[in-house]
Amino acid sequence: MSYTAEISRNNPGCFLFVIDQSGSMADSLASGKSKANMVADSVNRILQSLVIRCSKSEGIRDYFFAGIIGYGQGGGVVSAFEGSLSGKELVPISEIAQNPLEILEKEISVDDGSGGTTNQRVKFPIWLNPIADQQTPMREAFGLANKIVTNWLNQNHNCFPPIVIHITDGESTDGDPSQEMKALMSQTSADGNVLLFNVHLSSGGHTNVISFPGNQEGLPDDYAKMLFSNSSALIPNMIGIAKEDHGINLSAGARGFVFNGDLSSLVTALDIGTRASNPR
Amino acid sequence: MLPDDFEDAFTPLDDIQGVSKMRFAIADGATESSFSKEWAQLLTRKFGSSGFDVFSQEILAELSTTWEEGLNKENLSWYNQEKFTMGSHASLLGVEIDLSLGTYSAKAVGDCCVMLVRDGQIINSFPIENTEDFSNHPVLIGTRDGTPQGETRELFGKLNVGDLLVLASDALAAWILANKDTRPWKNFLDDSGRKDGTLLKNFEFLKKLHDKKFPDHQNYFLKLALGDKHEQDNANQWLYTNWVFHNIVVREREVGRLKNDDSTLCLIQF
Repeated sequence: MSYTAEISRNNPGCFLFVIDQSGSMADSLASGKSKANMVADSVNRILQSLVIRCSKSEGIRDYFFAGIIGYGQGGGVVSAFEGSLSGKELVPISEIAQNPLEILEKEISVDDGSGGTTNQRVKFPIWLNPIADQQTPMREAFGLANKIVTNWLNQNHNCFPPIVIHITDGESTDGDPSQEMKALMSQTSADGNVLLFNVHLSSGGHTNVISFPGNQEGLPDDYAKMLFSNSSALIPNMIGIAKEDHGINLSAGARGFVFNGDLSSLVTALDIGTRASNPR
Repeated sequence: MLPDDFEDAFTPLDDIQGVSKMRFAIADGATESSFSKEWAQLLTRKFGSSGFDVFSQEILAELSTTWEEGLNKENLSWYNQEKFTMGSHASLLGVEIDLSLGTYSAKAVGDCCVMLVRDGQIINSFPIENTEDFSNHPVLIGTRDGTPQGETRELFGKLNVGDLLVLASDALAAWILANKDTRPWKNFLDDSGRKDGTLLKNFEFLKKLHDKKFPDHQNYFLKLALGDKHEQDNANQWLYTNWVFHNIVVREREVGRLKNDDSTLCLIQF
């Protein structure tokens, strides 16, 4: 049976985020925040959550490796890590934990357990800064993603299949990325094919969010259909998390695909995509 | 020395002697929590001294304070500070044996099990009876929220001469129940090639009680065997009372019949 590999320090899992950092990501959504800001915040929260999941009293257990590919910045494709992690492709979660660019502290209002609220100071480590610059070399980005995943699988053949989450707001400016996306999804570990999520963010005028569709019905254009075709079917664990934690009833065949997404659908997709593989 | 990442816990064997009844507990600290090993150790140690009171919200609140005070909070990393705010969790099974009455009582929250073996058959498994009833999300005792209401299970039973109590943390309990027709506990009774004798005890106290109730029967003991999940190349750090247990655990993990999880086994033979 696929997608059942145990995640342990001997057999870690892998997450790769592929982030559109092109000029259009400077546009704002309804919240007033730029898309680049929203993506950076969401990815930072997900990395924080992965770190905390792996943190134990004796330190961080390297259950996961993670990488961020950014495309658009300076017109090229780069590892989006900065500071001590600059240039690194896949990084053990312990190294990520120890090398945030900075740690912000904020006071937030939380439930006090007796019907009221209380203020609590919480930490927000930052690894990814918001960037919106130049073109959208999506094809090249997926070329790099393929290379990184191939290297990973060569060394971790029995792993839970790598999960790649792509976040974009526009169309590729360096050609059709379909072949690279298909090649990525066809890569396998002993436990199954690589899982690819495509999260497309709204471009102002669109408000009709399409989340985790099971077929192409209702998709507005060929671009949406291309992204749908190159998104993996959600595995049963993900469908379970969607139902239990997000109240979303999905049928078998639902894809890891969001079109015209907003902050809420982005956060949901990241959560479903990164929580289905649990360390022992 | 137990490996740092071994998150099961048990009542220290030295704590068992000298109390009016024999009490022994095992606990399984949740992998998802930090400092769950410390929490599991507090729970099992407290059971040794206070028995079933450890399940009360009042005692749990005291233990939670002890747990918190034991952490050097000022020096925690950002992620351990965050994890600390989420609290820690563990399952707990406590068994109290009164040999003068020939009875045993048990309380449990979660999925550590005690099985009563009589005449070669499991005649009772508590609190979980069937392999398929184990899940990845057992009910747990938390440092923040104690025991979820209505989730403490209780058992009372009689013991006969020759009975065997098998206490096991979840992965091992699930495996034993799945293989009960082959009576896997028989293998664990084999002492040949014992690696470490410190965990096998013939308690004087147990003997005293035992002699009073069953003067003609001498074959009684408590054995403890531990095996941590195999994640790193630390096989030599594993603690087992004998190689039979070691070999079974390794083989069954390799073929996928036994979940790779911290495993604690305690056998009490009467």
